[in-house]
Amino acid sequence: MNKDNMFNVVLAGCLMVAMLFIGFTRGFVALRTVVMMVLIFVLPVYFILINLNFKKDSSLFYSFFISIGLFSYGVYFISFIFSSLKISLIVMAVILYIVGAVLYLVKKKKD
Amino acid sequence: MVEKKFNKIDVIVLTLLFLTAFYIWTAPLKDNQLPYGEADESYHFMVGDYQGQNDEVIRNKLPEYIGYRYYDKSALGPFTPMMLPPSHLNLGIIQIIGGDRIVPVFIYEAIVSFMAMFAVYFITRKLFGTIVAAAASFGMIFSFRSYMTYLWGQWPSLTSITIIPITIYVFYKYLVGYFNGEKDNKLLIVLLLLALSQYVLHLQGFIMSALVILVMLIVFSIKYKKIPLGKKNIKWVVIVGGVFLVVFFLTYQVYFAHSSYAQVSTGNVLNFERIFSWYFDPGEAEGYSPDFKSFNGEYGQLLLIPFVLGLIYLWLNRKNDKYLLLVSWLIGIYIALHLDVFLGSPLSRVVRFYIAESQLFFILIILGVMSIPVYFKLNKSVKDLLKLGLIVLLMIFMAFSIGDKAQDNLSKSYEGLARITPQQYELSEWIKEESPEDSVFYIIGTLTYPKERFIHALSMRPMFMGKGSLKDGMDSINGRIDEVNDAMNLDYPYLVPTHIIFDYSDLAYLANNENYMNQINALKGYEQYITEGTEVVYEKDNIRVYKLKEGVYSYE
Repeated sequence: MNKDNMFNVVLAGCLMVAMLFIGFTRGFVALRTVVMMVLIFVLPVYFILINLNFKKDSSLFYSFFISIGLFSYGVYFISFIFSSLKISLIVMAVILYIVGAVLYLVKKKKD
Repeated sequence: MVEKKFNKIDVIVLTLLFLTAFYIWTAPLKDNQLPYGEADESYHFMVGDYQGQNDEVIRNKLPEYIGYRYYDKSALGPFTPMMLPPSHLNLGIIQIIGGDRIVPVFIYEAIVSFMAMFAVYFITRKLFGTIVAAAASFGMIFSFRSYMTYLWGQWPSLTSITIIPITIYVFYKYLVGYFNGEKDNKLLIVLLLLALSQYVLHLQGFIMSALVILVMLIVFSIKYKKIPLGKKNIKWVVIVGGVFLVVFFLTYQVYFAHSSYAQVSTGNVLNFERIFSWYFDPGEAEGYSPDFKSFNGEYGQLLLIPFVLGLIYLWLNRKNDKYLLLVSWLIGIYIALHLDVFLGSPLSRVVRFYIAESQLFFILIILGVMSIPVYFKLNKSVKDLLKLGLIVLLMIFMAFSIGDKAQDNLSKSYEGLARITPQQYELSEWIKEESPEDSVFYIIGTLTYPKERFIHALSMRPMFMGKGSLKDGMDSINGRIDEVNDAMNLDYPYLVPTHIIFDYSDLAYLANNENYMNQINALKGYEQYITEGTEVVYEKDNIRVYKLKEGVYSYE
């Protein structure tokens, strides 16, 4: 097994252990909250940063700490168009994921 | 030293740290999933909760049931939010994505509060490697100041403070890169985003980062004998600085507006002797426990030795960039902790900077322990083994000293009657669902003020807390409204209660105590007097709600 594969196996194992631990100790709502936090407050900006050639660890940490302040500020401005918080939240997340995907395609094309 | 790539050991260490912190910090939710915390917490919860429950974003005007309670608190005027949107909007968002009204909010707040541990891990891992990072962030899990601030509900400032290590690291990396000819202007954009994230969450974390960055700029410019500004980066510096200034000028009034009515807690006498001391006197910032303002309370007396060793080691290595970063950080914290002396800032705000002190001091403590073998002539392998052994010993010591204290404090916080009971939660739900939207409630009998405030938050109706008779209570509220109306030439109407809640549900548990028995009897007498001929609209579990007759406000 090469180093990258090993890393991915360990990462998947740790995520599994963490999810089981959270679910068993604090219940399903807590588990759902943590998973959704990762999907909303980490991954969208992570995909953008990683495609701007930041290192994996830097992208991971920067994305969380940037998102806890600025993700909801984005939602706030989008809510001027869609008055619903839920819709604004989805639109904001989709925009960020799309930006990440576009950057990925651009990077792939360059490579 | 070449930085080692983020690897599987980091993943395992971070998972273990996260799960340990998660288990300890969410302990108040283990057996009871009702809201807990102090009065500040209920305010933050309330503003987020309104947005999450109503699928609506609050802009310039708070809903009435919040606005009337915090009538004189916002610098921008009655009914305006006290902060920029993100801190509270995050809570509304988390209710939606978590699928529940209470648990997601408290899980989210616990996580963003203890994430300072990850921020410390990140910067320490980058500078000193995995072992130092693991040990320093392990200490952060048990930071008394952090978890008490989380329990007290000063959530926005705590969240903003957690980001400090990341922000200053990004600036450090940019600065050192610039001086070594490896400019990476992308880092300036990340710096801008992190600084904005701190700024919009709460001013305090941003101020601390800005101070450290300023000190770093001066110190490194002196070391390298040049200013980090030239042809190749001036465009980026102007763009990044410009964006920040635009945001600042559009929003600064939320933090800096001086109005004639908003209550600002100043009044501290400037004490210049404080320049020579790091910690406050026990008599200063009295609202905070002595443990919050002392070294012993946060780290324990024994850790003073490794801390001093850490300072010595820092001084000996000050010519090295990464240690110079720590020196700048230390100076930045010193300035922040003395802003009362330099700028006359209120001590009640300055004291919160101690939370940020722990981020650096845990690193220095670990470096202090790691430095011990350096003073002895030993083989490298023996030295490495000794360092590892000392770190493990220190971690065990921390687990059984400050770790035990944290576990004890968090698992026993807000037990029993100290947080709202299922009966009170049910009452709140009934008010929210069944009472007319223009109802105004007066609540009397609930054991503590924060509990009353949580009932208010969950009920989503204007609610005022019992201060003796109905007239006394209403006079005190309407007096405040009067003052603000006068100061601002406004004419907001007085609030007149339509319902009164007699809550015996806490007192009933304490009835064998003579004092509480007397309170019950007094309350019963008042209930009989004020509710004669009025209709009971809710009666359950020792809680009664009456619909009041018109004109009842004048009742003594």
